[in-house]
Amino acid sequence: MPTQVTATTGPVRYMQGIAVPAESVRPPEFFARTRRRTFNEGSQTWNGFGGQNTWELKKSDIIAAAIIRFQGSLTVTPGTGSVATTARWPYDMLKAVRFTANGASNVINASGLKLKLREMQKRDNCNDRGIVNTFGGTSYNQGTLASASESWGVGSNTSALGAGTSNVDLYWVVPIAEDEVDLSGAIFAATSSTDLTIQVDMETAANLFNLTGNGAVSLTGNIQCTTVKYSIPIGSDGQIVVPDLSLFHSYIQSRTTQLGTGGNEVRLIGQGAGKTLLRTSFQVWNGATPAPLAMNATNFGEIAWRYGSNETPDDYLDGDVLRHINERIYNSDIGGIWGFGAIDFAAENAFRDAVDMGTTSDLRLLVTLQNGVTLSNAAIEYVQETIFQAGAGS
Amino acid sequence: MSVSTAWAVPSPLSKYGGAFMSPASTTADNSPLAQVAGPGVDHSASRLSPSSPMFWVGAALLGAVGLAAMSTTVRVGPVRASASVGDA
Repeated sequence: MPTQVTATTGPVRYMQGIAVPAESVRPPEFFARTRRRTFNEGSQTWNGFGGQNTWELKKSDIIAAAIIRFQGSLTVTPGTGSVATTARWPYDMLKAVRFTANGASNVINASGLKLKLREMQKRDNCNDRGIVNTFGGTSYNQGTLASASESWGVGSNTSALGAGTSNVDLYWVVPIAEDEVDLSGAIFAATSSTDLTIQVDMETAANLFNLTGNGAVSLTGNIQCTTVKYSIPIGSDGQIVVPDLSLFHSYIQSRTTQLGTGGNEVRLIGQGAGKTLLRTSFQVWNGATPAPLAMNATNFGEIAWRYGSNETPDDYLDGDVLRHINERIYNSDIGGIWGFGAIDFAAENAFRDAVDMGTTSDLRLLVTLQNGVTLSNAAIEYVQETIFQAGAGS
Repeated sequence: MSVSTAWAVPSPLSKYGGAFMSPASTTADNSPLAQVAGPGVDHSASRLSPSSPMFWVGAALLGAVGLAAMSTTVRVGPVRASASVGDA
């Protein structure tokens, strides 16, 4: 009778659900031998407002980041009516960018504007000083979160747009790795068992533009995806060499409409043992046509993060104070136009400041809205950036 | 072969601290049960085991009685039985 023969294998380490020979995990040798590759994942026809574009990334190398670019043409035709943009234009044109890797679904799930914020928060050499754009009918050269190589086409949150056609060129970076230098959170992609997908949901025209009468807009273009990867080298023993890829990096956006004037404690979701919180950022959208409330003392009172019954390690007096502290660490006025507030535990020293979510029960954000603020359709949109060992859950 | 490099690759612990300072997470299969209030399992040794103090109390008692001798008689109807140890 034939007997079943079990293949003998060497010890393996599981990294992000993928078995890798244990002896192949040699970070110093990997970084000495690897080669950076900037890879075009393909250009697609933009699938329109409310549509969706998806890339199944090539299964090779180790992926650290993806860059999404929209390049197109916007035609505004007011006719006898009018055309206005909302504050969702231009960056929240990407309503949700979702990245799924190796069975961990949606480790990245955030809108376009939150991705622009994250780029400004993380990259020290990235700033928006002197980049001029229009918001609310006013020209700003600080805090636009834009790059000089971008073009908004028309201003954001701006009414009475004139007839014409303008170029639109926008970039977003999907932060797959938390750190593109040491590749913490990068994804091992060189196996057929991986599932690496970037899915982009587009915002609807109604949420990007306010049209009256026979006013109309038309947007056409292409959307492209470029990944930044690192080759998997062969070591001196003839085996592949990889860095320590045991981490997942997560950037998740949430939204709640449970808001009122006075103090609001917003529960941070996805808390779990083994997860480390690096930063949390938020905006409050308010108004008949919602726009972000500027981060200042007129709109915001006390802002803090809190856990347990009433443990409040960081407590900011009001929106002015948080705006200044944010600008100090990011070199960008993230609160002036887009109304972002951020509590950052990783900008200076993550080892010292990062929050162990396993020991901070009932983790929550305190956002105080001043009594003078008239709320209408108010919602708080917040993002949490965490890093954790694969298997701890996303 | 080890590769010498001037650039040290940071470990998650040395870079992020936080949750990486905690004991390594384990799967549900080998996680110990959480401490709960309530009656616990009795881990004391059997009284017939030499590990039990009562075993040695009994042994000492038997020894003492044995030195003094012991006898007993049982009678059930016409049947009579007796047993004795020592000089009784």
